[in-house]
Amino acid sequence: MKNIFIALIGILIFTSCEDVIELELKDTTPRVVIEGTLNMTTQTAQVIFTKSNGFYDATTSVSVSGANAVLQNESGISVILFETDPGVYIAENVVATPGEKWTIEIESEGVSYTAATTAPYPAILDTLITEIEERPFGGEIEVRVFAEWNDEAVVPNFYRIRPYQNDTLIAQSYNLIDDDFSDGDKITTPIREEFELGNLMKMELLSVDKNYYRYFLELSSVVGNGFNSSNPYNPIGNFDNDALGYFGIFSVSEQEVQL
Amino acid sequence: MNLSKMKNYLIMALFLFYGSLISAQDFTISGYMRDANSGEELLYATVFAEGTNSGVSTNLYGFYSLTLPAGEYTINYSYVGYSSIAFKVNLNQDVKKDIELGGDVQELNEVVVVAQREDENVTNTEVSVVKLDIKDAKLIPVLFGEQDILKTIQLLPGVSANSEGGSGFFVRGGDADQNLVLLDEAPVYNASHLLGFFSVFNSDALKDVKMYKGGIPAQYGGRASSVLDVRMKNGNMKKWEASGGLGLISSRFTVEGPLQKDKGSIMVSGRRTYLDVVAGIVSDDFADLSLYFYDLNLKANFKIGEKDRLYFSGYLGRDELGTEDFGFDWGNQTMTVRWNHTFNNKLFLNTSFIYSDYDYGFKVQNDGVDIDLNAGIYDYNLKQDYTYFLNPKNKIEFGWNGIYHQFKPTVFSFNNTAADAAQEQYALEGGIYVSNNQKISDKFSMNYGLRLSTLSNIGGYNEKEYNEADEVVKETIYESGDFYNTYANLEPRVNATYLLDSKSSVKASYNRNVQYLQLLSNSTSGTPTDMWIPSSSLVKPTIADQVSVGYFRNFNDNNYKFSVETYYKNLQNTVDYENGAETFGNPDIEAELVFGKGRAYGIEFLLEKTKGKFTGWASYTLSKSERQFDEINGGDWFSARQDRTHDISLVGTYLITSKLTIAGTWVYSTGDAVTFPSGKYYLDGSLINLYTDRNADRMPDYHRFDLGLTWTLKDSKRFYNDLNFSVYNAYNRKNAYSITFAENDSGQTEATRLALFGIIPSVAWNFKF
Repeated sequence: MKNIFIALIGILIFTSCEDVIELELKDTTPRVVIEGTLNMTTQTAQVIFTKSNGFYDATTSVSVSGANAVLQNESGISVILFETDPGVYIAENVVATPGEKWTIEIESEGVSYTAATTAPYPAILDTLITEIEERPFGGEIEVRVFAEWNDEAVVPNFYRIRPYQNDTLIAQSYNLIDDDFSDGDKITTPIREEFELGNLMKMELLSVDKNYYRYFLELSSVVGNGFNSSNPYNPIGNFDNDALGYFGIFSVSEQEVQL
Repeated sequence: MNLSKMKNYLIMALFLFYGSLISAQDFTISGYMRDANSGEELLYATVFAEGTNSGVSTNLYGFYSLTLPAGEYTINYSYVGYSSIAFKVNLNQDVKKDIELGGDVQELNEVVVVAQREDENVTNTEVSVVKLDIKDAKLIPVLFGEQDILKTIQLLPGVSANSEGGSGFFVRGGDADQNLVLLDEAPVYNASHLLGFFSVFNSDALKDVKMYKGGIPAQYGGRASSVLDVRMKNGNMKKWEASGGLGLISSRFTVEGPLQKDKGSIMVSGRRTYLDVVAGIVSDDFADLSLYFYDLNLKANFKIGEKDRLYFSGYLGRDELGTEDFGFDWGNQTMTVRWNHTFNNKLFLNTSFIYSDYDYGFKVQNDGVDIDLNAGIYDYNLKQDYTYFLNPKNKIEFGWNGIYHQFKPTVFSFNNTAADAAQEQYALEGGIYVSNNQKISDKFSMNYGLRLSTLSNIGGYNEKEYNEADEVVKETIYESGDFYNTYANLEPRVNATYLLDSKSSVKASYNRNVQYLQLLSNSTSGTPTDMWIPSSSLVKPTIADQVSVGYFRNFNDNNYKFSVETYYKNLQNTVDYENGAETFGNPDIEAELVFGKGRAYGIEFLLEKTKGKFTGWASYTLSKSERQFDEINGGDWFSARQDRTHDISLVGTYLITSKLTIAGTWVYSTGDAVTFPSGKYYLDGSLINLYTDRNADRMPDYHRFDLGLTWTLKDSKRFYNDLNFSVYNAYNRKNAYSITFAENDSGQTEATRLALFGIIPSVAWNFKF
């Protein structure tokens, strides 16, 4: 009798199932997607220029070649980006100082796309704290990691953390942080991703500008799909003329630990 | 319209009612109608003088009053599900007569048993009203065998579930927060348990359920779409009894009885689920988990002399979800203290003080990180409702109420430091109303009324104005106790019934409802953390106007009841969010809102079979519900999520033998309007879905068959018990709860369906002694 009871309960709780279905989706005209970044640490400006394609199409992006991309700062210095790979435009030795405003203009097929943003204040990743914990059930060993750095007071700062294990990015989410709760203080943040003993752990702290932060925040609200998701929409960055994507400036500070 | 003008209208309306006051030799018969076995008052029961067109119905407290010219009459008392009784009276003075239905009638020799009056659905002035017999509802199979009136109501036309297995509901294309859910007059702000799969209503504690989809009487106000008026049992006035049930995931127990026979009674009912305990047995993974909810209902009443009666009712429900270092709990509390007073045989007064709250708390304690979060809404409500039985042709109801709302938004603290949060808000919501149920001729009757509703914000509050970039451009500080920003609205309510013949009628209604509270919910399913906010200078109250017309016809000696109703609803100032709105604990949440319009229209068919071994109903709704916001879809109208074009329910109960009943339900509806991707792009090295228009796609159609079997083991006066078996989703349809679009391991993009409930058998044992 007891066994039957338990079996019944088992059915109750575990009747949910997931399967892949064939669902017809509407097609739409391809949209322009521009990912423009200026890395203050490597002094590299990069534009990845693509177009969207159908949902069930091949999983490669559609590059847009032959565009003209120019970067300009508030004192009038302009830098031309050159196409190194199809749809990838790069300029080296671009020096941006914190608080400086930069504008990017990309022209393709007779349409020009412009975006502007302000270089952030770079923070230095101070410490990585690791804690090794044995789980009470199953006895699995878990490595918990916390990142610590000092926040610049007064100005609002925005951060993103990119965790790597054995040089592979293992981010499950965009790991976005603002200093609303800790302006000017030391920020300690737990890293959600799991690491295993014996591996090389690397953490990148990106100090990002406000536009970058906002865009990725919107992006994170639409990529989380399912039970609690918001109404889906296309995040709109700081580009004009209906281009998807963003133009952002960031600096990178990293640390490595052999676990 | 200014306030003084409104006052004039109200006074004029009052005079109109009193116009037909004068008549010379009239006498009144009045009293209460009750159930003979339990002493429970019968609500909306019918009293009429045979051979005349004079009749009334009891009010919400079972009181009636019928005034007739002097003479001899046969007065007939009837109530659905009971045998009617009638007795002769020589009306040459005022008579007080309390009547009990359903008892042993042979003792009373002046009384004759007549067939129950079954054509009330055709003859009364109510349009768009759904009544539910709680006894019948218990036979209908449900998820996990857990009886739930909200799920039964969803099987009726015009009412639909918000999600698979969910107890939340949409009424005639309205939003989920536009339903006024009342438990003994107290608003219940979150009527769901366990993320929506169960409602807070424990059927064992309930007496009467009534839902207004339209034609809402003037005494109700505050929500745009519907009113669900749930009344708890008073408790047996004659004898002590206990009832309960043991189910797979929950158990219930109710005790009720007289405090003093026929003077006062008490009822206590409790329910608790133990899904977590069960899960813990099944797998070690759930050993730390606590996941349960409980409900406690209490009601007591006492008669003080002939004219006064006091009631106390309370409800407490709580959900708990937690692990070792994480805890989350939420729930409602309501309390109602009521005083019924009969001034004379024509004027009845109910005075209520009501407290209601909903709150949640959230706590994480983990590795020195201590996050604490809580929010709530707290209501204090005082109201008076008068029923004046002017004469057999006019029943006047009037009253007022005032609700003091306190809104505590999400307060977030991190390592015991409170974060910059939204401010507390206060508001006073008021209403006065008057309505008359008038029998204009033998064939034509009307219920017309007017409600004046108001809302004032109260300080201390720092009111902000925002620009297009959602930045604060102006702040106004209101001191504590300051009233500011008052809204006032007149809400006309009219229902009319015209009898075509004794078995058919045409009904029509128009009503305006104004809603001064909005539920902020950014998710597609509701969550316990959704919070209510009051209207403000930025957030205008939602105004709904609804017109409906219906045709009602009974066939075959009232064996079959048929109705068709059509409606059009117009909504002003509906609220939605900007794309990407940060809703959780955002101090500037108002800046993220967008305001628009809504419209909903449809036609509802219902065919019921009410007698014989086989009973049940078939309902079909064809409808449309749309919204329009300048900021969404380029200002075009788009389907609301709950826009389900077709909605069918088939419900059948068959009495195989006196001990065995089998029941089945089949439901079908068009899939929800949702937004699917129409393409994809790559950004930051990962796949992002590309969307086009809001809600331009459809979930797959939903359908499901449930089967139930009730086996009465013993049914005697002393002890009753039965076994209830049910199978949810009997043909194991994989209804999509959600569809996600992502890359699979081999790099292919694909659509994945999550089906929440497969075939679910369950069993419950119910008893009563």
